[in-house]
Amino acid sequence: MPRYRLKKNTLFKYAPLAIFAVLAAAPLFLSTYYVSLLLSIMLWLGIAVSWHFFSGSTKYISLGSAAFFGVGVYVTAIFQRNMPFPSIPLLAYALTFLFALAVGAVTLRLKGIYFAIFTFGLAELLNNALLFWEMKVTGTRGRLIIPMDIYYYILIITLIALISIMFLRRTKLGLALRAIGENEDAAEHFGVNTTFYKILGFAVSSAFIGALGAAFAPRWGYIDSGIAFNSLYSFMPAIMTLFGGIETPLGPIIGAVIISLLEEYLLTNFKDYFMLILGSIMIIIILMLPEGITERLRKTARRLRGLP
Amino acid sequence: MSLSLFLDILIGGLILGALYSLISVGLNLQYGVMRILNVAHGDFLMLGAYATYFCVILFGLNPFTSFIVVGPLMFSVGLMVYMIILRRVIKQSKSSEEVESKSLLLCFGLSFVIQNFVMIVWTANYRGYETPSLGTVNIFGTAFEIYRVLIAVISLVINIALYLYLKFTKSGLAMRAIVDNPEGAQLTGINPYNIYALSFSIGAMLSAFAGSLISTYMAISPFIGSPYTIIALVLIILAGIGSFKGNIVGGFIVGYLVYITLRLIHPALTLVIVYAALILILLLRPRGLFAR
Repeated sequence: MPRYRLKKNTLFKYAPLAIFAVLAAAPLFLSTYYVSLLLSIMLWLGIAVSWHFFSGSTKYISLGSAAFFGVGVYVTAIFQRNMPFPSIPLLAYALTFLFALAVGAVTLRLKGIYFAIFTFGLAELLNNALLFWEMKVTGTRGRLIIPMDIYYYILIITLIALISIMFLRRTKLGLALRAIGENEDAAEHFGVNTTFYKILGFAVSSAFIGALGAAFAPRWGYIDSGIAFNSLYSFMPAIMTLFGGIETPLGPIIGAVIISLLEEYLLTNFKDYFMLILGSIMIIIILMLPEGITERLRKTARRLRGLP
Repeated sequence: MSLSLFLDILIGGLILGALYSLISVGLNLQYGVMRILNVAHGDFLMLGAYATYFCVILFGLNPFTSFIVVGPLMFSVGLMVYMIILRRVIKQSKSSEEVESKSLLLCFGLSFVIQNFVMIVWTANYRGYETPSLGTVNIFGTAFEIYRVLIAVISLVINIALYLYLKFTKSGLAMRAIVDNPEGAQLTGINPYNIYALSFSIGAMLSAFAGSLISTYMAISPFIGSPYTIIALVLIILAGIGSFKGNIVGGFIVGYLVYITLRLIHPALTLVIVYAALILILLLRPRGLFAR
């Protein structure tokens, strides 16, 4: 398939910088409502892009992002009082990285289905383990978190995730992951150590989700395992990426922006129907728009210009 | 360990194991025949539980006789889901890997739809009905509720019925043929789409039966399904996908693990123990105990 390349004119080069500048300055001139809307868009964008880096490239569908997000949230809950906050997302990154390495080491040597099943129950597993721990060992239920303004933390982490993933896609790791997604057996024949790259890629992608969880936790004054391991965090990156288009790195970005806006609209107007509508959208996307909105628009644009 | 506790675990695990093998057998059939990884499986179970609940509350049926309503009803629901959603994906996909990943995401969305639909229509409240007590039965000096034993017996009977169906009927034979060799089966004139529709509907019906049985001893809510989905998924990997024998044995393995955890360790740790067993088995036998 011929790639359709955008010309790198000056506008395109400086647009991301301008967007970043606007986002950085946003809290100075926007009302609280819009700032929190931007915050949730950036959070979802970071999660979706990280998810896409592994699952989009390799086609190994992870249904367990909530587990890594929750680990991050709990890192904040445990260490917030003992450490300066800026170091906590870093710690969460490291711990989630190790955790994902372990999960990957068990499941990623095998076919994709084992991985999908294993990740599907992972958030529920951690949820139950924590419930047990809090009931038996600490005797608590949930934890208090000191609320603080986290806008810039989420902005910076999402930016770092975006830049490093854009960079990583061009490295050996990114190429190996995409080769696995195209045809794993062929990749193996060409001497790609598929197991190694799958585990590493999964850990890198999950660790960003963990760091975002840690940075986002102070939005809540109180968390328990049900909030931290909410299955929404597994569901959203998948639906966002599918909506945007799983084949291109632009897909999760566009999907995250549109679906977060939709989320906000649904939550304010049809709170009770929120998950029902999102679930239906997911089904409709897979059936009607399997290659995502970016690919569809690109095809329409080509057709309008009379290209095949 | 005292003798009575030992017997309690022996029989209790057996009862739970029989139920688990029923819970997972539908999923195993669906995945084995058409590579659809139905992560909404537990939600069909939940629908079955609600159907039984309404049969008992509205028509005064006995939960066990409600099967005559629940069966055809959930068979049709399964057929509808297959026809409207899954058929298209199977036809669109070029390889079985594509069916796997697409149907996985599709069923993930479907699970949210079913759960939230039920929540909107019948609220998130826990519901239950009074199960007519049938008294207790003494097995080696330990008392067991008769209906718990009945649940195990019914589960095994359904399993055996399915086995006989797969073994001796024409459509059952066609299903096994597709599990063994999809292309070869088509060459012999089997229309795979009819078999897919049939096996998905039977799978949905079987999980609904499991839900009916569960509703006799547990309060139900729209969200009871997911833990059963997870256990059923773990069970079919543990057992080896597409293996009927493995499904029964896996049911008892998971049944005993869960029951021992419930009785001796802590109820919140059941999933942890089940996952630990899964990891162990994946490390030792990556394709499951009864790999085909």
